[in-house]
Amino acid sequence: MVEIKGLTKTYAGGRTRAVDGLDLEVKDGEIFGFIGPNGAGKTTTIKMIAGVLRPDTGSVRIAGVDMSAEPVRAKRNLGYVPDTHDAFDKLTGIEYLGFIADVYGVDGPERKEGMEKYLRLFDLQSAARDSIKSYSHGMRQKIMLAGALLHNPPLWILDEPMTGLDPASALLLKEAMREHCRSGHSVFFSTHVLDVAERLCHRIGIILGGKLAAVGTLEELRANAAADATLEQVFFSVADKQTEGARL
Amino acid sequence: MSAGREYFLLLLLQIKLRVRSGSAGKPRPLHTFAVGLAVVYMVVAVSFLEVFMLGPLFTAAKTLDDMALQAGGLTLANALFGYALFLVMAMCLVLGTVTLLSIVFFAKDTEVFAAFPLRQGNVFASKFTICYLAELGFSLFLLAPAAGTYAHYVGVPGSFWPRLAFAALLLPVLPLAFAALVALPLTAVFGRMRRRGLVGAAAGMLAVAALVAGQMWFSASLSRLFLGDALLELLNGNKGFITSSLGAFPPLLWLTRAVFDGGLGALGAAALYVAVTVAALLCALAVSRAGYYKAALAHAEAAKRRAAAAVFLPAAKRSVTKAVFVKEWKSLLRSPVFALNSLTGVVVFPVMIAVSAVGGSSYAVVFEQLAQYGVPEPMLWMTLSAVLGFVASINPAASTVFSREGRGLDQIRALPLTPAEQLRGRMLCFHSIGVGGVLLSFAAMLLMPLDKGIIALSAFTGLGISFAATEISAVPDCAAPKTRWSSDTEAMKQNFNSLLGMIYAFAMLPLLLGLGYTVTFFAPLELAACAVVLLSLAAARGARAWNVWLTAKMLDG
Ligand SMILES: Nc1ncnc2c1ncn2[C@@H]1O[C@H](COP(=O)(O)OP(=O)(O)O)[C@@H](O)[C@H]1O
Ligand SMILES: [Mg+2]
Repeated sequence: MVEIKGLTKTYAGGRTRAVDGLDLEVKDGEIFGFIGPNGAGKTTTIKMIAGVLRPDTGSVRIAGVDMSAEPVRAKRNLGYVPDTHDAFDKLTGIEYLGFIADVYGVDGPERKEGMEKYLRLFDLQSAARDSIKSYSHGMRQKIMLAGALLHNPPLWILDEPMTGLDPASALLLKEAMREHCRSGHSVFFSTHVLDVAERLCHRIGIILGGKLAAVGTLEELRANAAADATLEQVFFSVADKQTEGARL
Repeated sequence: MSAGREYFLLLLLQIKLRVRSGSAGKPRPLHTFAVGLAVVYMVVAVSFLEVFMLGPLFTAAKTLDDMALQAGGLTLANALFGYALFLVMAMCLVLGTVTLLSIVFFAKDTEVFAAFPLRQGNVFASKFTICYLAELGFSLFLLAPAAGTYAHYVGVPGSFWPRLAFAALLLPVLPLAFAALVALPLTAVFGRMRRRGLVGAAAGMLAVAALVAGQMWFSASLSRLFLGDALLELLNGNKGFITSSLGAFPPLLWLTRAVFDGGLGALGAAALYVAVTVAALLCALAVSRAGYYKAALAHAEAAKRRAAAAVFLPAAKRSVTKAVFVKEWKSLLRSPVFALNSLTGVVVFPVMIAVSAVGGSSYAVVFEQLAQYGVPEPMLWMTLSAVLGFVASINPAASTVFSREGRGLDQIRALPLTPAEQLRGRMLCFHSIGVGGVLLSFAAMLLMPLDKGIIALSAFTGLGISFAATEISAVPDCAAPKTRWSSDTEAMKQNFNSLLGMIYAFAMLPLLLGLGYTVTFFAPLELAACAVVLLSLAAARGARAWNVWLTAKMLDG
């Protein structure tokens, strides 16, 4: 579903290496968790996958379509929820969904049914006609999630999606992610909350200082640590090895 | 903390916020250069215009004054300068209202301030001071060339300059205090309304109506001075009419006397003017101490609709262009600041044209004389087209096309749209504003006692120019949008791109019309109009292609 090769991005005229030679693959029907500490380069990577940032070097392919060669066609295949929700706050919830449906060409019965379904799922019916400006953080998150699901994209890209959600909504979101994968679609999401990744993901990538430190299923990752290690223990053992490696 | 200290700390913070906003990111030398160039261009253009317009007026007034029998008291030239002061005051009222609404009443940071243990009167006063400084700069920018022209053509004693400085410093206070006194209760009441964007725009239009009323009064007085029996009265040694016409707005008479009168008269007038200014200021402060937060936070509390039993879903699918177009219009109208800034011009100028065309104004007399003696048709066509082109060139919506998306621009980038598609719907929205302004102005021009055929031809030309002006004014923002704003004001009004866009459009206007005028030397007027329109459309097409290219580069991270 997603193939990333040699992805690099620097900021501040090359002084900050936010992402450094990243290779990654997300398979069809997979929930891929992207974990790492603050400032590790998760958001930068996600923005490059979503076609928001242009990589310095490297390539991103979504469902076989190269992002830099055919951006519009590649973007059609994904639904992106950023970590901040500043866009569209002058629109009402329902107008936002209508706009997304128009832009992605969602027509016919799916249009109405989809809107109804996701407004109901995220409990946004009563707020649908208020402007997004009046929404709480969690409600904004949910309307953006609804927008990213509405056109049923093969790939869902979520940046820190659990932040600000109440327990019930977080559960709903996890359910929605699992359901999304059942039809062969994929989810790529970032988090710094390890428990979430541990229970939800088919595979996990750990990013440290812009480099992919480890990738695999939880079992594969445990090879780095004890056999019954939690993701937290795995994470710290990977991080420790990195710092040792740096010292050597 | 003492109230005074608190005020100064807040003022310092406000100044820092204003100075630093927009300077995020690396400084670009080219940008700084463009800023400098734009400022110089504006100063030169306005100065030139003022010298050009006021010079003959002042000379005429001086000639009449020299014939007057009665010595002492205000002269005709003094009165004319007084009217210039009045016009600046009226401009301060309109622009000050807009600034006040954006910075004081619809600012996003009010909520933050409200959380601190600060006196609300002080928060208001610090922001009010910022508005004052802005209007002061603006009025100095307008007054300085007028004063220079006056000094050159009429001659002034040395004491004129300190007196003028005193007048200039006080000038913006009265209109601003008045605007604040009106705006405070209005925002408290209307801030909770659902359609407050439109209500805000309507309030701006009201301010415009005030300006137009002031201008009517001004024109009527001016024509009384010059077209009435001024000469006769002066020769008869009667100068009372000067005082009485200025006295229609007593503070104006006081201010003019403070600048020109001799000795005690000036002191007394200055004292009166200071008294009325201080009184208005104290009133505004007292009201703000009681209810500033109530007014300024009213809009932060989103007015909600009662939950509908069934959510109405827009079933019909729109094309991408239409979806973007509708979204753009909605986001313009939902913000009072956006609505006010993008629509005021479209309404102000037609109203001003209409008012100047109908009876009671000195312009009407001028138009009648023009009609009587006949103006060369190409001249008339060019002037009217220039006015329409001017109306179309002030389009802050187009010149902040991507800035207004703010940090949400990333989500715009992620949409599966080509740069051309991103622009098409948006530009269509801005063209509709420009065309609306031209058509409304055209309707207003029909009130003028001029050849209707020429007016129609000018409207045709103006429409063409409007397309080019709108496209070209979007160029700076497609290249480098300012997305790091924290209030709608910063996104639009304080966005340098909006000034830059306007200047681009203004720079193009004389080129297009100049070429058209040249055509009239060897071809009929209709052909010249067609030439200008074709040229404009070509320019619009070219600017769009440029914009698409710039947008592609800009959106591409
Ligand atoms: N716009 C930017 N300009 C400069 N540096 C940035 C920018 N965005 C992110 N960075 C830097 O890039 C690195 C990675 O940031 P980010 O991808 O946001 O991390 P994460 O999402 O994992 O917390 C950090 O060091 C951050 O400071
Ligand atoms: Mg992040």
